Amino acid sequence: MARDTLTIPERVGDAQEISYASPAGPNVGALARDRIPVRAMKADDLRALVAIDRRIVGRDRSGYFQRKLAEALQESDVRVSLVAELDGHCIGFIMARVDLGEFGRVEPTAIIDTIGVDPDYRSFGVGRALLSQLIVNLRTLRVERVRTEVDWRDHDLMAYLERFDFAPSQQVCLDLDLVAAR
Amino acid sequence: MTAHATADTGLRGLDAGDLERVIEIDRTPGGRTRRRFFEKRFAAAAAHPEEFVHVGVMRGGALRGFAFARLLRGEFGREHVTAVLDAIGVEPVSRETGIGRTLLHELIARLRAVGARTLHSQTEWSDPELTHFFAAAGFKLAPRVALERSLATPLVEQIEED
Repeated sequence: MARDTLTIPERVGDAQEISYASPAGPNVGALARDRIPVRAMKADDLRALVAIDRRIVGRDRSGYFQRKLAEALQESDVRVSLVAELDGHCIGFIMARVDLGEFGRVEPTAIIDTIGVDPDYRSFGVGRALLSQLIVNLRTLRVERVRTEVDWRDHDLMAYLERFDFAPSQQVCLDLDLVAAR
Repeated sequence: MTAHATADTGLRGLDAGDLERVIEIDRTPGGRTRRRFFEKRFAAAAAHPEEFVHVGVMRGGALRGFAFARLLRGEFGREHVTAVLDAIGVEPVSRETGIGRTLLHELIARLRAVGARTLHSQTEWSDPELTHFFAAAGFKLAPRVALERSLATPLVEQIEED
């Protein structure tokens, strides 16, 4: 998972496409996700996502986000990516995937690709609202676990995710340097 | 995707006609398949061939193994092209015959040809066979950690700021 920006599902076909990215019901109390409205990500959120990312990384990654958004919305069996809004403006997003497995059941593991929060709203609980709502939605789908990758030097992000009960998985991340390994 | 090779044995790209065979090769000993995953991968590769690199090994007129990688441009805050190994598989009866090494060698050559500079992968810590395979191919531990959260328990929440 990139610190600045964090995606989930792929698609069987339009007729089978399901969106479970709607917010939870009103019986969850005054939590972060209630103070920060969170909704399902849409195709026309692209410009807002790119703008937030540009403010974080200092450059335009429109092409990259266009692909990630298409992946989240068109290649996903279940749409679970979310956007946080305040006063009608997108102030954060989380891109995640969860696939359908055999017999139409969801795969047991969801993947978080990217999370991003507008730097002007970093103390508003936006990340918590997004992660909190995603976890509620994934539990509703009966997904068993959620996984992401984090740069091991990003201690702040790892500490942040630990607060949401994330812990090291049994997956080992590997790289092959294609330039050096000739 | 590339067209089927005409030779009875050798290396070639994958195409839609390989879908069922790839699903079968990937089937677990318990019989579980990743049909949806491969259907989507083949569909995406057909729609956006520039984003995928794939190779299959033919022997005796049949596909015996395959490898599938996706190209990422602009991810991880980098400008250079990175590849992610989506899937690699060899049919059980053809394992330990060098097909895996041949697949990876060819995949790497094809990735270099399109300018990829790094190949990312993941493996289960408890899978010594695959871990050894990757280590022998030159993979190193990545500067990334896979974090996971069980969804068996709900998030304990309270009102607080980030």
